[in-house]
Amino acid sequence: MKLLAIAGKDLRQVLRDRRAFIFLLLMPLAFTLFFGLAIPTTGAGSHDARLQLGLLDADGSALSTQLRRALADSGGVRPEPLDAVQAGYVDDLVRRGDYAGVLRIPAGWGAALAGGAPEPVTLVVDRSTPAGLATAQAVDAAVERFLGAQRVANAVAGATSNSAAAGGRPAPDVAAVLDAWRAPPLTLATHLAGAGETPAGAAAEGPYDQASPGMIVQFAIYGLILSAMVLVIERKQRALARLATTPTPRAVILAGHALAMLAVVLAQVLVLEAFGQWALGVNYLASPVATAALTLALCVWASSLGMLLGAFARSEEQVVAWSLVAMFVLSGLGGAWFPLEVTSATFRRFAHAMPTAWAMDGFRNVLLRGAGLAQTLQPVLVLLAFAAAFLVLAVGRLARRPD
Amino acid sequence: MKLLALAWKDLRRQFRSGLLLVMMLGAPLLLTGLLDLAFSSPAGTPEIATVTLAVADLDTPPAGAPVAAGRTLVAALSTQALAPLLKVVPVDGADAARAMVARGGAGAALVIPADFTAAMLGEVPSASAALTTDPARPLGAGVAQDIVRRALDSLSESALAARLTLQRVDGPAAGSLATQAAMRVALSAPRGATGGGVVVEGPKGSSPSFVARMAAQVMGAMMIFFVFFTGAYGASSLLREQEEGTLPRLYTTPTGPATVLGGKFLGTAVTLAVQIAVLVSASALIFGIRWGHPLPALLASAALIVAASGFGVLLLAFVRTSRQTGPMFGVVLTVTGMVGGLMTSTFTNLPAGLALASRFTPQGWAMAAWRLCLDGRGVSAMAVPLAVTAAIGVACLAVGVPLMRRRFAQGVPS
Repeated sequence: MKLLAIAGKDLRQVLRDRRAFIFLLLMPLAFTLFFGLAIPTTGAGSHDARLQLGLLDADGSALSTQLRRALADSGGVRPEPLDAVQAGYVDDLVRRGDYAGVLRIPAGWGAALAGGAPEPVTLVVDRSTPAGLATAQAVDAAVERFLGAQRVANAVAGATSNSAAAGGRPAPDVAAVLDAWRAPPLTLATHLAGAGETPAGAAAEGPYDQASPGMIVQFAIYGLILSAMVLVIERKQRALARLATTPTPRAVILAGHALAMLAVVLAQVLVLEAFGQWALGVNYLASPVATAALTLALCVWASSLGMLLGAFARSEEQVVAWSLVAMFVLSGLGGAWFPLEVTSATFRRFAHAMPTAWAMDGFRNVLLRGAGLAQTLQPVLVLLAFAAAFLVLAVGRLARRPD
Repeated sequence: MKLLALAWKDLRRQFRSGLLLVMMLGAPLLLTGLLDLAFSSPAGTPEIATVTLAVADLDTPPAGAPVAAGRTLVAALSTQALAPLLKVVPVDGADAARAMVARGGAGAALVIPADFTAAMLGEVPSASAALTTDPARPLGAGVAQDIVRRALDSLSESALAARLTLQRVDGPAAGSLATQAAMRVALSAPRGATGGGVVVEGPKGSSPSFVARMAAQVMGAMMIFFVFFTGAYGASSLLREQEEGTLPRLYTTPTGPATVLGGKFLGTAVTLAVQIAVLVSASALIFGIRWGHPLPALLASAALIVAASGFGVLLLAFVRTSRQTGPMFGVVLTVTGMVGGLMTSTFTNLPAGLALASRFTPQGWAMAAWRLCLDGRGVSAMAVPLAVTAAIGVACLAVGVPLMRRRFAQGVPS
């Protein structure tokens, strides 16, 4: 009962503070919505994620028109003809990121290609950027397919030019070959691993599948500011030391504080998960048991971090500063802001020294792979191990120096 | 002199606060450091991890087939040139390949169907290879998909040549002519050898590496974000002095409100200038960021100081107690910073609405000015964002200062 009374007192103290609503809910919701909106994905409902490709077609031949069609069909880039003014500062357009790349088709390009002496097209692109790399890849693939169509047309014409069996029927041109490409003999069907193996694109990673769990992890740490502050204020006012003179065991007092922190962070995470599930279409219920285990482990770990902060910080100001640093370091390194897949090999190795990386692994396993409890067990156990270590440190400190 | 003494007192107070130092200097450097660490590589470009591709080749070529298309495809995927991107692991059966992806042992699984060669030879209309990718690793999936699709395209070209030939000719010679056309394609000179293709050029004037530029943009964005916080915090010192009772005591001396406000403003402006100077110098030393030419950087700093202190003064008009400043400043500065593009400074292809919205915040204009500065542009190119940033600051001061004068003229809360 005493344990519950202490936890209840802490909870009332936290929830009476109007800032709680802002730190615990408003901020994470705003960040989740914003990053989901800002990150382009191929998922349904998102904006056109194709990269903008400026086009300067000085050739204007039938073949260059076909090349433009092949680029538009590629799905990776969105070709847009540039006007005469824009043609004057192509480098600026690319450098500033107004266009992911600009493709120049030189005059006489079509005639040279038809004559069997193809000339290259020029792509101005910054290959040191991810968008530049993707654009170069998409344009290269589209041009290669186009040149392949030309090779096919030439081969058919070459093989049948002297044959009477052709009966005067014209050899297929590039346009006819490109049409035939719409139903190629060998195709590639792509699927996402997981339940149902839906075709890629239809159920690809949604815009909030990274942002929602990422912000949950980040703000589970940030939200500790208020809970940890309650503990610090008690220490500063010597209420903790006075409480220790009562017949209440010290373990009960500390457990009461830890329980309050757990309740706050659990309520916060559950509300954010519910919002993700029903408002943002993030499938936390893909595996309810796994999500529940992961949520609980995350909250236990986060509250242990809160206890640690509350035990070591000497002032409210220190709680805020340390919470901010903890939030930045643990969220940034743990893959809460961007998937670890896109980071360097060194970073990825280092990231898994952070409990947050394991939490993100667990959430991504559930949300994207539809993983069950068995596949989520490792992240859960790692989080609980971190929690145990933090609690030992916090309790040790508070037992020695309650005030 | 009193004005300077007041400014000096505020400066000392601010630089003694551990929290403020974390917010002013620690957080922007830490965030930039984290992102620099995340994306840095020896080449200065983003690293793409090698994707393991589990391949189940179920292709059963028809009797007498001149080629085994499945084997050709696997060989094409296993070349030395692709080794840094793709590691092909042959497995027995489609289930085993997919299971590898499900376990996380492979980034993608390719299943080549039994009628693969038959489709290539035109004995069946088409055949579809199946690529199963790990949804939790979309980057690797994209790489695997692109490579496999190109290899398939290459095989499809020969098959298409044969098919189109068969559509053009008939009679007993049709078969051999189709084979001839397919062979012509298969044996045609490899790409690049005959010209054509794509020549890639970098834009003139770009900085040496993506990572360096990304670090510069993140640092610029974080500097602006936290400078606005400092500006607001500086303005709120009046409120704290009022609550602590030092402001009314100050007014018992022969010091007018104009001197007090001037001292506060000067203290905040110097704090902001020091913050910017330290961040610019430290980031240049730590991350090698080149901040552009001195004069544009100086003007961008001045415009930022005016905007941040002006915005802080305006925000102060909407809070009643120092307790309210944290949530109020936190929410308003975070939201305007987000809308201003400070959290997405390195994102490309942002939705048009977000890009437009950034123009309605002082942070968005400040970022536009610093972006140009980082690009090494001159003052004339930066004129518009500089002018708008400073103008927003002046407008905020024009509204906020009279409100502050009225509110703090007596020293006690009105």
